Amino acid sequence: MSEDKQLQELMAELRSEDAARSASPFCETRLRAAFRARQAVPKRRSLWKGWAAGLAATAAAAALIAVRLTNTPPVSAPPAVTQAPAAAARPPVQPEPRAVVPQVQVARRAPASSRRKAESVPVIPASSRPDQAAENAFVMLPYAPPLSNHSWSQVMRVRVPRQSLRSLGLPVNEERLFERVPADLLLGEDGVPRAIRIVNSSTR
Amino acid sequence: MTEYDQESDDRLLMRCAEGDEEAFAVLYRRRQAGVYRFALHMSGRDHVAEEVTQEVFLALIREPQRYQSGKGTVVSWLYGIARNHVLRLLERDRRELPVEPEWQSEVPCEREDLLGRLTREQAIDALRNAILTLPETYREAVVLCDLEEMQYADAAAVLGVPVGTVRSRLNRGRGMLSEKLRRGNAMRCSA
Repeated sequence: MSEDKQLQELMAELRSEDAARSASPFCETRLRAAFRARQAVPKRRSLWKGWAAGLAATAAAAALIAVRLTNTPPVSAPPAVTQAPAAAARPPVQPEPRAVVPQVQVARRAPASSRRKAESVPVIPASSRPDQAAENAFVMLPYAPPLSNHSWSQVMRVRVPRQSLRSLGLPVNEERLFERVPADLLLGEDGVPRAIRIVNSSTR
Repeated sequence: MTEYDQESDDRLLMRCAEGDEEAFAVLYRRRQAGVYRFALHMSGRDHVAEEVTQEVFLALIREPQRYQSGKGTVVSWLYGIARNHVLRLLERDRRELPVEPEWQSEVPCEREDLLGRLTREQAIDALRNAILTLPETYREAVVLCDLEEMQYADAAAVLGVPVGTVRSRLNRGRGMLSEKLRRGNAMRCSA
């Protein structure tokens, strides 16, 4: 068999191997949030273009672990979890193992009694100690709009993949990246998540 | 299947510009995987591919009017944006490329072909590695034409070069790949 033909056959194998590779469902969630944010911003001339872009980026970043509050079903359901192949079998220069695409599950909606004034919820900036999330304090999500002290916030218990928490700079067990852990999301009146804390025994 | 699924990319993009979120979702689902794979094969990293995919469609959201149908298809426009982002990210995170295996003398193998004694998975990994070590000029031609099976005209629109240039880069890239795979196999035979 000629080298060209061998190479073409190998290319076909690689195409087939990677045919199912795609962006995570979170990417679509972020982009749709950015699309809606973009539509909500009045179209003005360039003086406020920076604000519009910032708002779109804020909405997109905050939707990283967004959970719908309304009764309508999610627009796009994430695919089922697939197990990533063992990374140790690959040589160092290989692409990373196929990313698991877990779902953000809503364990339960917090009872009405968990609604509270935003000022009463201890929140620390994401730029300070991320390991605070392992304790009782909420860690602000990057680019999340600030909570007004006079607005209501709500805490929602969810299950999120550890991988998502790592992307926020929170400490996670690297060997259990694809597991889901319980976490509390702090939502503003508008339903947009503002902060997160990992649920440990003291916050259950 | 909704009515949007039968719309062309151009029509969907027009609807996106008018604020139709469902049109955007259909266009995104139709084209995101190809953009992702292009970025993945160019960079070798999932997180780069994810970031590039997001940036491409954010650009579509922010400035859909930048697409000009006379210059190419929506696909070539999206891949062109992806290419710019990938090259920028690769430049920013200039990674250590794998060092070419060194050998003192070539030892003839029992099977002097590209694959030698490799299993299918090893052969695919070897090809993936070899593509990542190609110079970016040839890598993008190989990725677009051989892996994404893009037409020469579309690839030329993505790269901003004539069709003839795409062909010559593709031929050169394929030749380099064959050489890399053969040399890699020769090293394994001598081990």
